[in-house]
Amino acid sequence: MIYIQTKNFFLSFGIIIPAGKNFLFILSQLIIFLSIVSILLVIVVLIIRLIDSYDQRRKNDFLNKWENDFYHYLGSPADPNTLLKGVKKSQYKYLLMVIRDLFSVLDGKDLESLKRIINETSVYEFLLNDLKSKKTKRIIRAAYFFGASGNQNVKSILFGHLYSNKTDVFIFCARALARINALEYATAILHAARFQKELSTDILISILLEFKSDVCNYLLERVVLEDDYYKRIAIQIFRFHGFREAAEIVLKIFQTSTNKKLLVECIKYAGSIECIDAIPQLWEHFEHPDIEVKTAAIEALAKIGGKELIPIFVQRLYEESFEVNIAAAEALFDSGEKGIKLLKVVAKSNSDSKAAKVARMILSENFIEIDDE
Amino acid sequence: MNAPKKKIFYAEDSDSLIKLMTYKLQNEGYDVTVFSTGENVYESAVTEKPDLVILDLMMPIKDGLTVLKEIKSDPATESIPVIMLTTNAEEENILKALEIGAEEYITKPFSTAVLLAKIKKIIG
Repeated sequence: MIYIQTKNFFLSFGIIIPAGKNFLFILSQLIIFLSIVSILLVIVVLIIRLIDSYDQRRKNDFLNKWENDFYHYLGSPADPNTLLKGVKKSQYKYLLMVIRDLFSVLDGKDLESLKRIINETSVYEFLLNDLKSKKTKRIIRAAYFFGASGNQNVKSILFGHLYSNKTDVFIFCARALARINALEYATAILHAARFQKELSTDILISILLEFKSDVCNYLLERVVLEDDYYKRIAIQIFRFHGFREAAEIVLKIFQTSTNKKLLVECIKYAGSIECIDAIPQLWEHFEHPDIEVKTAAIEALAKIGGKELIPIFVQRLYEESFEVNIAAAEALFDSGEKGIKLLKVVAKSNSDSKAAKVARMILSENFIEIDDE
Repeated sequence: MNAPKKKIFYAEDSDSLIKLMTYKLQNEGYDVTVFSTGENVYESAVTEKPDLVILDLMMPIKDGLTVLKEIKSDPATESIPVIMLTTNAEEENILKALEIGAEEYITKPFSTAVLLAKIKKIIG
């Protein structure tokens, strides 16, 4: 009976079980094998738990002894080497865990105290070894702390990691260079970023925004000489910093470029700094066949203003593309009282039309009643 | 006879910051009660009447603004001064907090010395 059930079970997986004594032998061997595997698994889990609880106990013991001295030290002019007296290198990882959390929330003298632990004690050598190692986890940890503490001595090592085939290593090392405000490496970051296939543009932008705003002057000097990718990223950085000094060069790029993504960035930049000189070019792109370019042009013109554009925005409310309709409705809303009045008229005009729906949506998003007059 | 210690409620979800601030506040002679979420802060304020409440804006279960509203809308607790801890990006929330009645706000990253000075200014 057991034989038949087992045979059928294994047959369903395509395994043929022999009959008689051979079957019993194989079954007993299988049970012994499974028992050994189970026991080994239990032992492995127990060992992992034991190591974990031992590590936790060591961490707690260390923190209980050290934490109050550390909190007392923060914000004081005391020597960080005195604080670290008696702390073993094997305990640095616990110390760094506490420091890491506080780096992002503390400022002033407290932050200076944290930086001094990294830059003026044996923790520096410890992290330097990490940064020079080949292990991702250690490199990332060191890059984070050197970036947060603004350590200028490690720039060349961080630069060396920019061409790592691990995206995490690139991100942490590039971010550290940006936090240190190592402007001379901004172009290297942009060049190395191309080789990081898993890196999104948003993350790259967030890294470059860690530089101080003088990165704009640095990028402006080079932007003309570089390719479309560099230009596109640089123009986004100019836009985020509201860097008006780049207007002349961005307008030249706007005039000559045929790259759609680059055009959109030029248009967004012109809109964000309300560049009046860009109006003729924006006007040309109002009729651009690409919806993304056209939408960006409407949004930019709305930001720059000009009541004469209101009838054009109304026209765009009736276009086929939904994105263009939304941009036109938002442009009308941003145009002020007259634009809002027209939006209300459209909203009331024909309740089933797409233009009316879009108008109602924008009005309602901005908490404006259609019948409030 | 020593004057009773001034009581401060500190609601914050960052463990490291809780430990640091508890140390600094106790070192300044305050009696500190810590909350790691926004839950129960208002209820405890009704019964214990702290001299000051420090509220982090972003907390699990109940955020700082909700707790602030509860405290400031109850006549039993409305006079308790509140300091809000926010980040720079939360300008709109800072304005809301001041509108609801927060006495002071401080943005992260912050200096503990500045926070202690603001506390001293409010409750001595």
